[in-house]
Amino acid sequence: MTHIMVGDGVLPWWLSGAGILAAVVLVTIASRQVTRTGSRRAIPATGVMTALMVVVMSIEIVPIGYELHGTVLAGIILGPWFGAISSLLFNVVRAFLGDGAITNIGLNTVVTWLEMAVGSMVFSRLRPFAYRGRASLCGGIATAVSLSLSTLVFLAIIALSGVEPASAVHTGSFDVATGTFDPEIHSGGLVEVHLPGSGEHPEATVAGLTPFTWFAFATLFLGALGWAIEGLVTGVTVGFIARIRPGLIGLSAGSDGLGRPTE
Amino acid sequence: MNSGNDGLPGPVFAPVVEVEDLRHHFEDGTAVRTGDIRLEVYPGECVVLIGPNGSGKSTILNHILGLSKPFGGTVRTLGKPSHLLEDSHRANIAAVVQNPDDQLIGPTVKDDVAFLPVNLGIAGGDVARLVESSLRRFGLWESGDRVIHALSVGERRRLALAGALVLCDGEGFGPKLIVLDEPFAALDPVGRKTLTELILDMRARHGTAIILTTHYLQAVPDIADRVYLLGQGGRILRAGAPLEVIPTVPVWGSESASDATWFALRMELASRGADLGTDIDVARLADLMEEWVLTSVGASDQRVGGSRAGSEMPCPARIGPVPKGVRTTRTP
Amino acid sequence: MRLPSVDHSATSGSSWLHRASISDKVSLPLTGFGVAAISASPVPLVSVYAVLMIVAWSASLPLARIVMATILPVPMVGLYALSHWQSDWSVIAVILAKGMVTVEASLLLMLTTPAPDLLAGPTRWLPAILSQSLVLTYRAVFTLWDRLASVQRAIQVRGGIRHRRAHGFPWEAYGTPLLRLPRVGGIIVGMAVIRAIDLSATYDDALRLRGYRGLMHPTRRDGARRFPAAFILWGGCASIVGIATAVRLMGWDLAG
Repeated sequence: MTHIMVGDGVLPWWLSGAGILAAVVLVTIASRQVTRTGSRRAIPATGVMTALMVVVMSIEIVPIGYELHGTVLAGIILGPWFGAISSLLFNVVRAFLGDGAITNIGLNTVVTWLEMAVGSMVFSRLRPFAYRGRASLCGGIATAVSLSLSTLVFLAIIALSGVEPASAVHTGSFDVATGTFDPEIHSGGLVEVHLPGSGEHPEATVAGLTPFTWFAFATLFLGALGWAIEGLVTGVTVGFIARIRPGLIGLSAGSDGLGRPTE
Repeated sequence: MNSGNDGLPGPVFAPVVEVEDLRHHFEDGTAVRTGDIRLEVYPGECVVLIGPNGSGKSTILNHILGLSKPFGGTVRTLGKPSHLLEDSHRANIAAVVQNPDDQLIGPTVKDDVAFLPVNLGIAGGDVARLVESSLRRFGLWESGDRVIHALSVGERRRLALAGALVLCDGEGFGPKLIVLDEPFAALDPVGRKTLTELILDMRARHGTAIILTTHYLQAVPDIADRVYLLGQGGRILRAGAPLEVIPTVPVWGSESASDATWFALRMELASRGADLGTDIDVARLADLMEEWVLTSVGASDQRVGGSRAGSEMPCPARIGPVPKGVRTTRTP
Repeated sequence: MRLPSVDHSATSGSSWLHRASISDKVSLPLTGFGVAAISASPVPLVSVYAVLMIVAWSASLPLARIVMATILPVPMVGLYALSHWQSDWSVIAVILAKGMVTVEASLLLMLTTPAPDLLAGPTRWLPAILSQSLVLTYRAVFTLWDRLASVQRAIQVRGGIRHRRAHGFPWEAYGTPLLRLPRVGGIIVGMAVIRAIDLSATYDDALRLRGYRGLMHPTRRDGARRFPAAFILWGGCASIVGIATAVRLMGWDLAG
């Protein structure tokens, strides 16, 4: 769910740029971490898990346009560093398939990585309970926690897209006449109160929620449905893997998260 | 063939592959143990592993390729412990695993075949030449720019072979060891013929050691110097020449029974100087057998004083009714 | 759009756009991005959308699927657009249209260019961990897709999924009891994960077997630049972006 589905040229350029910068830093750090394990092994692991997410992504819950991503599952299996690289590749592939803006690849990479990293961390904390045959529940909880957190981050990014920095707010739309970016189209904040006759809004407005707040409510409502669905599927999947191949999710001694026996 | 233990005078070559009492354990508790019979492959020799499904043939090959570390026993490849094979040795080993999809990496046919030469640092022009040669050998040149997932299963099998044997340029270079896991599976007759010829060529011209597994027993007498029969649990039950091993073994299914019978029949005929050759088809075989039967019946009639002059000959003895669709030279 | 559909279109087509060189086809996404960045009015965006549809039609591309792909993000993008509500529907239209135009432009490139050709260039300058993982991602998607389909077929023939149609994917299982769907979905995804891990291990072995030494670059097969196609693509790009710029400069801006 947590995927910034906004086209190119809409988010402020500084926000998209910050996302790209954050993604570059993240992936650079992650690359150094994973190449310590040997790049020959890292490459097939990240490549195949990315492919898995691309395939799982095609599983769509039609009524609310929600797609399963398998990001938390990938995070549980890959861990945060392999997950970061996989997250970037996943979003690159997705963007070029028309699912997400190319200029937002950085932001989407960071958000996807958060899902993976938080999911991995929560599951590892819950692993002692998973040993007792509650692997499904632990997987579901990790998914719900991870997705709810990443949804909040997503909302924060959307909110930032309307925040006015020191200069005029940018929509990303370049004004060729003035050589600057368009002025703000967003009022910002959660609650707006307009006094009669003030500035742009001559009519009085009862103190109410801003459009952004409604958007946040809608996102959280739909998101909660998505968390439930993905949590359910991820939980069942984790339970299945725990029965068939417990080493894949670190539930058996002598194997790493990639299911390969340790020496 | 040069083998170190044939007793003939001449240089003695070290085996390219040696497997002695290999032990391997799987996660689910099953185990493979080859036992007392030593498995060896010498330069210029082709060794075939046969056995029922699950007998550990692929496991043994994986160890020879250095993809697994033995739990016990020894496995040596090119004179080194196999699990310590270095990257530099890989250029001397060509391998095709059981599922071709597992080793096809390049996005397109040409990219995949070029993978090894490129990684070895071979110059671009030579890479192109080697790739073209290998693709033409396996009938894939026209598919060079196709993506791999668009190929059929048989084409991917041929592609895996082309990629593994890309350095076999037929001129002056060939690998020291070729390892093939079920190479004949999913190949059409032309593909099987190509592969058989390639194996014979590599063995004869370059002294390449070859080890392969197969259920396609018809090919074994043409290519194998020695056959190792495996039983359940990976134990090597018997080793020797194809004629020694195959016909005397308890068969593992009616399919293989007919293969073993046919193989034994061919070998028996060959030992009597009546080699049927490798290109014989059912019609030709029927003609030969009919001629033989007629000859036998004619000789039999003469012995009892009967005459076979004229066209009104009794029909030769037939084992059963003629199956539908089988062409016959005589009417019933 | 799903990668297999996109790949099939890219590798099996023979239109003028399929045969055009990659260097010229890059003008398509540039057109999309350029117009999206410059425009503040829905009119030029809708016009460019229509022009790109004509290009897609001339290349015998699947128009319905392209339209669906551009429309799919509309609900969520629309929500975002509404979050910036300023009593001006044209702003909503601009935000939606920008997304649709850039998606359409990217898809035109992807639907007419095999992925290996696209990967050939970047794999030479990107870090190996990224570029080569991407190459293996491309290979692995199709292998996993086949294996996932096999698992789905296995479940279907054993009664785990019911379909109203003869063939379909698990997510189209409109006859299956709701309570069974998560379990079946979990099995399918679980099998996909296990297959993926096994595939990862076999690719690792394959790299080792095949003498991998850090080089995995698809060979670029960029076609020779063909004059009519190059002229149409770059000329069109320049014209469209120029017109969008002129519209903006002339103040034909409905966004207020």
